[in-house]
Amino acid sequence: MLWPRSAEKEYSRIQTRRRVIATVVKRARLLCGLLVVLGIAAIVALPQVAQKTYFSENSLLTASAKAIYSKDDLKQQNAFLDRITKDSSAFRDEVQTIMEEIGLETHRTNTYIYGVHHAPRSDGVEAIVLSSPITSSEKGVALVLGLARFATHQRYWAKDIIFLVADNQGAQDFLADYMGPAVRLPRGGLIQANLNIVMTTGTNFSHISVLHHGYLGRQPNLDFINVAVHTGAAAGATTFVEGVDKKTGNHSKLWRFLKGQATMSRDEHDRVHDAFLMRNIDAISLKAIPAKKGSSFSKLSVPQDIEMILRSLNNLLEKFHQSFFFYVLLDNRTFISIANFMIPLFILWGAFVVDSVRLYNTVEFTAQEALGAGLAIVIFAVGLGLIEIFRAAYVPDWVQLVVIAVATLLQFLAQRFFQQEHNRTTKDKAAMDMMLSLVLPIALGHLMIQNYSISLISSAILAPMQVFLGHKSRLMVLSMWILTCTVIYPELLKSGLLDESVLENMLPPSLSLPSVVPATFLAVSYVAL
Amino acid sequence: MKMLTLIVYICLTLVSCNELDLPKKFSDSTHTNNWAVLVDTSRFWFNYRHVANVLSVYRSVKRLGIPDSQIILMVADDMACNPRNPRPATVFNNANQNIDVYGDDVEVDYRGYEVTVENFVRLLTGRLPANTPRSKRLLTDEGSNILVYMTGHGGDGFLKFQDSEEITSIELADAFQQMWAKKRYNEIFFMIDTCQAASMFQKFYSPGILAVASSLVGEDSLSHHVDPAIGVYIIDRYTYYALEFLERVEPNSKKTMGEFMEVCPKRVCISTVGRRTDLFERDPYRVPITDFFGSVRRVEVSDAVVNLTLSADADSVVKKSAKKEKFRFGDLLPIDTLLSRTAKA
Repeated sequence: MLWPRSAEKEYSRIQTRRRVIATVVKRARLLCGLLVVLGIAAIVALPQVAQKTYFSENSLLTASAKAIYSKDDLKQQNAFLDRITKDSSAFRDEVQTIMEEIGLETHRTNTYIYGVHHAPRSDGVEAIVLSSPITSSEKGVALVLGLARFATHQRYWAKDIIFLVADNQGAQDFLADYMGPAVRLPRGGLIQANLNIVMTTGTNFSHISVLHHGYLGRQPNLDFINVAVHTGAAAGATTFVEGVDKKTGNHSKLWRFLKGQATMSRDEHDRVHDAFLMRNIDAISLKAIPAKKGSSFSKLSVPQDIEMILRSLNNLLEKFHQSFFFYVLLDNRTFISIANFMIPLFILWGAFVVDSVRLYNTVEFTAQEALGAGLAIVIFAVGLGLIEIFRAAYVPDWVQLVVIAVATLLQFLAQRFFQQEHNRTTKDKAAMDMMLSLVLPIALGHLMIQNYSISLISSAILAPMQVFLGHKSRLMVLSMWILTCTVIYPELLKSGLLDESVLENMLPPSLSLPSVVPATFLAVSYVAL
Repeated sequence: MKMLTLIVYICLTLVSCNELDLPKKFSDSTHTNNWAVLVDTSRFWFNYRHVANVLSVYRSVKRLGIPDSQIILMVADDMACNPRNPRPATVFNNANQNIDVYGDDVEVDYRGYEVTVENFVRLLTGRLPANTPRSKRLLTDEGSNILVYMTGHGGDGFLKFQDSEEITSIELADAFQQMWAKKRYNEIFFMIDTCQAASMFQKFYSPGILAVASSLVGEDSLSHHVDPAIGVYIIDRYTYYALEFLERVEPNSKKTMGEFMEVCPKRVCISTVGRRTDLFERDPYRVPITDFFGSVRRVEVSDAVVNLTLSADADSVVKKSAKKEKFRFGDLLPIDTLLSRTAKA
């Protein structure tokens, strides 16, 4: 088209294209089946290409400085612990009094209490947040207060440190106030990272678990997890990531991968670090997992671990930006990056594309109808693209819902507008089927970025369906799947009727409404026709 | 009495002269003054060791006699006052924290963002703006021996300045050639401690340059140890062992440049030290180390007596100045003139 070609070359090009498409149409089922099998094989092979984690940020210098949190500091921390009792009405008063005794600038509302320690020799442009929820145990709060007292005696802070006591709702309120227009709050600069500590009652801990999954599948930068794992090892507090423990190393990589996917698909977002991740602030939670017998690390390990993490964060010059943002962790030192984990999904989605090619060629579509179909897909993809942009900026859920609803409606209208026959004929069904086949991979691709495990499980179920089931049954299964994930399963979990520990690795993923919105509206619109 | 004074005079001559009595194995030095250009090109807290490197060399060079007026020290970042420094106002080069290489008499000539490739090349070639102060100028002449020490992050054929620009080995070689053409040096000793450091001296083509580098092309130069109290890598291997050598050097040392260039063998440095001796006319093993690191002058003490006769005019001048003159304060400010001038305006 762009340069003059001879007539013979043009003719042979068109001939080749026709031949290829004819083969594809004839062998569509075979090709789809092949792609599905290849995709499943790729999923099984995926954990084998996992890499060892490594530090990408040179300035972190993790665990180079010796931790100096001493027994005296621990004594003070325990003195604070004696003064605060979780369920008493004076709890918040007491915490605020302690913060003021330490010398922090404090502020308190119904849902959160925080204190700011300004770095004495720095310009106060950046801040780190150290937080603990109130709900699990006062030990976490005492730890935060003990570290606050320790921090005020150190001279090496380059960033302000904010000590926050709040649970998920409180953290959201804190961030709304802190980053909002209110003038009179004690402020410490832009928040670059959050470290959240969840302590449970009991004195014996087997290991520390790094919780890194957040709202809509967001995760902190991989370097942050590397820091936590490295300092844990240096401080004598063994650190694993969510869902992994000492015995995980004995299992195969594939088992670890699938278990990780089951954990990731849970999509819980009621923890403190989720509030920070929603606002694009790298955040992790360190949860101390109680041991069944014996104590595995000393009392100083956890405070020293946290001290070393804070020191590493202090060494940063900007927010974490060097390492991976999209990754899947097999265990605390093995990961798969997006470059690798998107390949099995692309192969599976190939089945959808092949099927749509078949449908397009079985029925006579006019050029106008083809244009309409193309336009519809573009509208849908743009709608999803907007969702991605909104995800980076903190746009409320309802706006995202509206945008995707409008996009779905528009694409439906566009396709129908251009179509010439509108009455349940073969062509009509074929047109709808083709649209479904093309739009579903786009929706699943969008899901992949939001929560890889949900996209993986959905693709692994829906792609074979494309091969073996007819149009109506496919729609039925799709709608049932979406309903289960969005409504039935979370409700069952909330009501307590499901015992997680028994079925842990076999349960379907749980989805929050915004993360499955595109597929929901899509299915509803087609079923309604 | 006269005998006593003569004996005292002879004793003083023997004791207080600063003459360097070189054995015959040393070749003749042809320089008349010594300069040093010490450059650290890295900023940020995790590059603490580069600043410690350059300040340690500065200390050694100052101790051996080169005055501050003849040292150009370029440091790209302030580690002593970095908020992350738990020992503010100090920079150490060893975990035992024996020597504070920052001290209170360090004179940094180019600091912070002034350390750029342009400023460095202008400094070497002398093409500085007219209002540049003397402390920022390299006022060398054809009798100057210059020690050029550079440290930072480098690669194959370049040295990184401040994480934003690079100087290539060709630019550096051309700068040295300009210096040769303008007769701005007698001999240069080029010392560089970066990764793939040898690539920086491979392109030199001007005579009179002796060069040593901490690693060859394709090798990384490694740091020596971490200071757990401060939390950074505190010095690089090559500079650490070079300093160990220099600490045992005194102004009257008989050590040679050849011995200095052998410091840090592969088993301690892990990287291989690179050397360039083809552009240098003398044999490095016959060049005293103070030819580049110290400021030792050849002093010849003579006990020959020179007769001076004063002319007749001189006598009268002396007599006149012997007269007591009256002094009075002059008008420092011609107030009357000024007042009258303003009255007119």
